Amino acid sequence: MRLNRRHFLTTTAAGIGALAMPGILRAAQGDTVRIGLITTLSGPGQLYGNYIKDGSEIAVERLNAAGGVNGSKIELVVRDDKNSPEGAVTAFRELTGDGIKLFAQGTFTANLLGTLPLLEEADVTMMMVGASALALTHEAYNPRAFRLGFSSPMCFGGYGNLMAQKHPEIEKWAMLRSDVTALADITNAFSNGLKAEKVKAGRTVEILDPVLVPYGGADFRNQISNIIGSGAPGLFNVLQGADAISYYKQARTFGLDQKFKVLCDSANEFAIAKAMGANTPASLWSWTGWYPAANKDNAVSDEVHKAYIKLRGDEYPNWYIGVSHDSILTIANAVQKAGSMEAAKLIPTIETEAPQGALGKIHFRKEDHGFAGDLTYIRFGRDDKNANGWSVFETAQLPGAEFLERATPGSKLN
Amino acid sequence: MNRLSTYLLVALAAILLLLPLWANSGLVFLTGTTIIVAVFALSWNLLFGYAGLASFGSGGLFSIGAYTMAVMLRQGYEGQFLLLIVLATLAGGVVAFAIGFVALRRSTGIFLAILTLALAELLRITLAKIHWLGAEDGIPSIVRPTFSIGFATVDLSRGNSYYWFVCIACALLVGLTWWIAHGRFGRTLRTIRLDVERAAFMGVDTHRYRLVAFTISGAIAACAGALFAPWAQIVTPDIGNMMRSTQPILFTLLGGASSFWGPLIGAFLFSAIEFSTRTLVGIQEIITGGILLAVVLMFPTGVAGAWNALIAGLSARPEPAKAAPALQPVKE
Repeated sequence: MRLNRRHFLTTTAAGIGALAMPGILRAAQGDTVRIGLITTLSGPGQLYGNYIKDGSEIAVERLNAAGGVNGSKIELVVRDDKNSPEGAVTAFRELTGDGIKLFAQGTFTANLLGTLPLLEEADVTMMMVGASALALTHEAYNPRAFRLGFSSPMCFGGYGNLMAQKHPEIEKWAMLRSDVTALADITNAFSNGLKAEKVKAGRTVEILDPVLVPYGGADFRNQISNIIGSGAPGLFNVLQGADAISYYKQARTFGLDQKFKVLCDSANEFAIAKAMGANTPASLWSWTGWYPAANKDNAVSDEVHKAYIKLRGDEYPNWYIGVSHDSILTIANAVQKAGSMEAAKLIPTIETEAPQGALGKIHFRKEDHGFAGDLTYIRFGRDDKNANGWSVFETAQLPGAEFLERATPGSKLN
Repeated sequence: MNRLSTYLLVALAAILLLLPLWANSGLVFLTGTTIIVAVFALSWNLLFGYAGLASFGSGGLFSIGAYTMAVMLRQGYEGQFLLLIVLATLAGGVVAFAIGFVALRRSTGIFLAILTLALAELLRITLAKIHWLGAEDGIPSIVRPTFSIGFATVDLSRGNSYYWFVCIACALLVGLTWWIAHGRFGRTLRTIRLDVERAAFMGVDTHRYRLVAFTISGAIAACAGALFAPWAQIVTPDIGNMMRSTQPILFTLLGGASSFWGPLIGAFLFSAIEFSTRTLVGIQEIITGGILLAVVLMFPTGVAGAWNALIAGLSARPEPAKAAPALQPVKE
């Protein structure tokens, strides 16, 4: 067959059209409740994005097994935000163009800040999964978005309060963090929580200036020596991720866990124990967004925990699993109760409803849509009797609403 | 450019202009982004393909344009939007001139590449620490402006009007780049790229020409960044990260450095691959990387070079044209 110009152009155009067709035409909505999930599935944030995807898929599976929403099955449409605001905006616009009106999105603040201004134009409702940045419920507040996450004043203010209650005898605290604003917010919140409780109890507390370590650093020995020399019996560490693992490994050679009466880690929870095994510090407190064993009387938490073990074979799920599950559950519950997917009907429903989730009752403060659920803290450490080399010794829960920062929707929190 | 390629170019332009009338808004957004980064890649290839200079820090100049626009719009200057584009372009040009003035005398090749990469990273880290510029979270909620042009008011905040504005602005930038590349200045740059000593011997002030090319390239990159800020409606320090600086290199390799249109073709091809594999979570990068690797290995002159070879084959010449090496003088 001789290929002439017309044949070539026609064939090429038809080929390109056939390939592109399913993706670019506006999809018709069937008899399903479609929820768009935008999260980070590539790049440095994909660890958390994968947890969010797993938790959301567990929620959809559970809800569909229970009959779906008003007889309709739930369909999760997952997109990668490529760890950038423009990736998140592309995914958001694509899904809204396909007619999706319900969204869950996490992990990074900047990616959420990229999509928040678009919610009104697209007339959608969004759950911000695990988001902690204050801006989301303050200066960048959007009435169509709900933050199912924990702000720093809430979870670390509560943390300081808990430590003041548990260890009233400790009157001097040292802190360790990198010179990063978000980590400074955490130490400030912890200090405020400590001080508030001490004042209430008529005691005083001395909080030393934080010892600063380089962000992404590898050698923390000088700073560890400084902390040990501080003479404080309490230590709050705010290093995160790989920095924290290196720090705890190096601290072990100094016998850090023998030098302090109370060791607190901000939010690394089981990542430390999983990485260090039998070398985990003897006793370490940490905040967590969800710990199934702390919710023994919560059937939803138990079911989600079992589903995750079945999915990944991991007995200690990251807290994002519970939070993302509850984000999808909150949306589904609201659609069921409101009998609609319209934002105008869903928003007041979410504001007033409090469905039972893995984290407990899921309810939001009406003024700024900040999550007002329970706070969970765990104490774990080295345990030679356990095959893992570590065990959880103690859990504590506090009512999160008591520690929520002041609501200032639309303006910055001063 | 042969007649068939001209027809295709016109058809592509028509498809781009009519896209919002039938396509999903996600595809429209991605296309708008692609148009802007295609112009950005074109500015990079003005340096690489014409002047023979490789910069690995062009993302920094893109972010200078984007931040200039974002800050000025936040300060309420949306009424002077066209002037803001000029201002952002000048900002990129001035910074590029300053860098080029110092760097081009002392470094070329890999040294220039690493130096520009380091400067772009320095800028990104600095932006991430300035709270007035939103630090890590950047500047969100950037407005798409409404402004007056004397006899009429242009409202770019409604519907797809900003998309069409981007199309027109980028078409003008492509036209300007074409004019620069194909005029006496472009021809002199190509002479310098082919043999810098010979060009100098012939009386060409090679440093001055390269410095002007560096400045023009930086100005166009910043202009693309300025167009991008209201398009994405958010700028963060990562807008000028290493990935952004890699984009034009990737597009140029894919499309072909030896063609003026190569970076544009590469940009659209890359976006098409990314968009069509977006649902393949977890293996998307492997598929995209595999396709790119295959294209680069199979077509050393890029897609544009392969296209030219195909056209030459179809035009029933007695002998098919041989593929040109990657850094041959630019063909159209």
